[in-house]
Amino acid sequence: MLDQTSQWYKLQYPECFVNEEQRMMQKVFADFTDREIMPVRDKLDDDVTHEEIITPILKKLQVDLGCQKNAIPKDYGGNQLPLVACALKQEQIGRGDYGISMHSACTEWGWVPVMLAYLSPPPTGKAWAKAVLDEFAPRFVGNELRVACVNMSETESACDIENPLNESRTVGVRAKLEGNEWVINGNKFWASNAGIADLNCVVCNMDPRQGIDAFTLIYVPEPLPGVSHGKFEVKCGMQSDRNTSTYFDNVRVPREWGIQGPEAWAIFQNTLAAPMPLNSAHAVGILQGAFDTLLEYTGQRVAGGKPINQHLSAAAILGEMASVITVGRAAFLELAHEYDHMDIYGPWDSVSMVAKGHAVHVFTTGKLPELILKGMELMGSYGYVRENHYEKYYRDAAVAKLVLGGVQLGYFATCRQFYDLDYSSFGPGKLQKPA
Amino acid sequence: MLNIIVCAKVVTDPEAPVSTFKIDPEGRRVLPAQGVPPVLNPYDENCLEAALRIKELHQCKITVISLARSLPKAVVKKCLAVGADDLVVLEDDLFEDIDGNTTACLLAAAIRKLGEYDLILAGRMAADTNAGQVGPGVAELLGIPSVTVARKIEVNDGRVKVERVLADGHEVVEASMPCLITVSHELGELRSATVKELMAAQKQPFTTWQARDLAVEISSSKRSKALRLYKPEREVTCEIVAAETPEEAGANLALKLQQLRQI
Repeated sequence: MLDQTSQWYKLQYPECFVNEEQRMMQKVFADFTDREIMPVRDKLDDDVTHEEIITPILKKLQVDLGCQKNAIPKDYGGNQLPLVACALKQEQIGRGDYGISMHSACTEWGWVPVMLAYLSPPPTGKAWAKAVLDEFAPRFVGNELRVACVNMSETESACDIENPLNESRTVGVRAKLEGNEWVINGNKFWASNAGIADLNCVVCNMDPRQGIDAFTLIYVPEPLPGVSHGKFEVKCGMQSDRNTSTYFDNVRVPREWGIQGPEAWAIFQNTLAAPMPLNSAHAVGILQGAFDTLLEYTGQRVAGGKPINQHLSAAAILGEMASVITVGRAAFLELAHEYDHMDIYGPWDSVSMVAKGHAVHVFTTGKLPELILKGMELMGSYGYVRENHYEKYYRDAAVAKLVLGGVQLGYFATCRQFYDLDYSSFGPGKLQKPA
Repeated sequence: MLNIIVCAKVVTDPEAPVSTFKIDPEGRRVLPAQGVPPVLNPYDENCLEAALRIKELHQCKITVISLARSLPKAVVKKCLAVGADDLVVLEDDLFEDIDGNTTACLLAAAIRKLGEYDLILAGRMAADTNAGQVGPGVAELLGIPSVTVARKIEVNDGRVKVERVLADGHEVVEASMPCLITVSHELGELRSATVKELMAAQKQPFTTWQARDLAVEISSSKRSKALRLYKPEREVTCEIVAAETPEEAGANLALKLQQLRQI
């Protein structure tokens, strides 16, 4: 129950970062979470087919509220939502279920490369974005549930692909130009929304020896001959977020759906930066959900003659959680605001912005599991019983910490602001550069 | 084109836990609850939905009027996001602690100031007072017919056909327009706004009027006075009906209820 009139709310979401339009959206997403997700949050993980609970919720969020077009330009009927609004959405949905918010965020992410290219001046990128938007945007602004995916990670190279110092040399999926078609071969692994996506942005390389010059981003719709998938992964929760392998076997798409070389690389680097405020907001949402549950439980449960929250040892844990929520929220809002004002704060792929993005992300996501586990101890055995709505946040927290390359990659990227740290995968004692 | 006016009040969320409800018995007022958000009165949401359904079938303009000392704009702008065409906000410090009659006087004055209208819709009552006085009061002041507790409204040839909710079913009544109808929750929930509609609503201008714009003497229009404000105390006692078998338990329970004159 989000009270936007309270002093605490005003202090948490200051006017310098959140405007009235964004507050309206935040309220809608908060109400959506309270109405649609909270009553069934302990049942989501049992809906293995997604038919009973998950897909109806996703349809309401993505189609009825229109979130599947959040990262599509307004010229194409999309919402072209600022990062602050997207982050507020992820926080509220993440408070209910990280899987649902991840699904929604990854459809937005799938459109980020073309939206960035469409709104940027370089003509090659703009032409590529127009071709992709002309073909696929109409499907996503309609009344059918559509899903997009950034298909990036591979079995032998996941955070290595996200590591900018590797210059895409570890990408194993090969793209080749044959006449007016791209031909794609290779395997992707683990991407969120893989296997259910209508549209994939596939990260490829034409020749790993050439690094950035041969880097390629290609949009691949599904179903399409040559594209197939493995089984969905069974995880510690996050049922609403699908992950699986994607196999590309001589997959052919028109040349205009792909972009290659340094321009593609720059778009990719910006695309990698985009989720930093959003997943940080997820993390704050997860922690807020855990905190709300804990606050209610410790206020009602009596031990030693008084409610648990009146014991100072318990209050110390609750206070610590509230502190991290407050600081994490301030950090992701400030970061999202800076992303929305690139003209003042610089491009998302600059060394300083990447360092700031990772710093915020590793702080918020890194704190989660330990803090939520501490809280679980206040609930005793009730904490790990599903119907008490707490243990899911512990499971969600573990995953939130690992996405976007994980905490270590984030620390290394942050260090680059201060000195020239070499954390590439190549060199003495590490991988050999492709010969 | 039909001109529909919807009266919408902002109330403290009635879904909030009872424990958050606090009163000042001395001052005879309800204290603002901590952490409980303001929302559109759910019955007024129903009546906005009624207006939107009429708009789907007829060419019409929907104007929402909301009144309070201070209105949270994000809450009232939701009306524009779901499809209302205009929003008129009546705000003034003088609107603090006004009663149903004063509210009706102010709304009637605002409606007169707006000009021509065909249909006025209001919620059957506000979720904070449950009084149900304002809607019929506005009709009385404007000298137009009113129909209360509607669950369905059809507009045709200058007349409205209304299904009214009764304790044991419903009845159908007709009235000529202009008229006022109060709407009940049976009509259905207000539709949701999409992200795009919320963004558009934010950019839409709205009108603000104060007390001096309405020429209503507020001090003399107050007709009701709270004599006492209190929270009713509820005592719950539980007794387990003893029996050897379920049949015996049923019989004993019936006997007990009879003794208590409950059946």
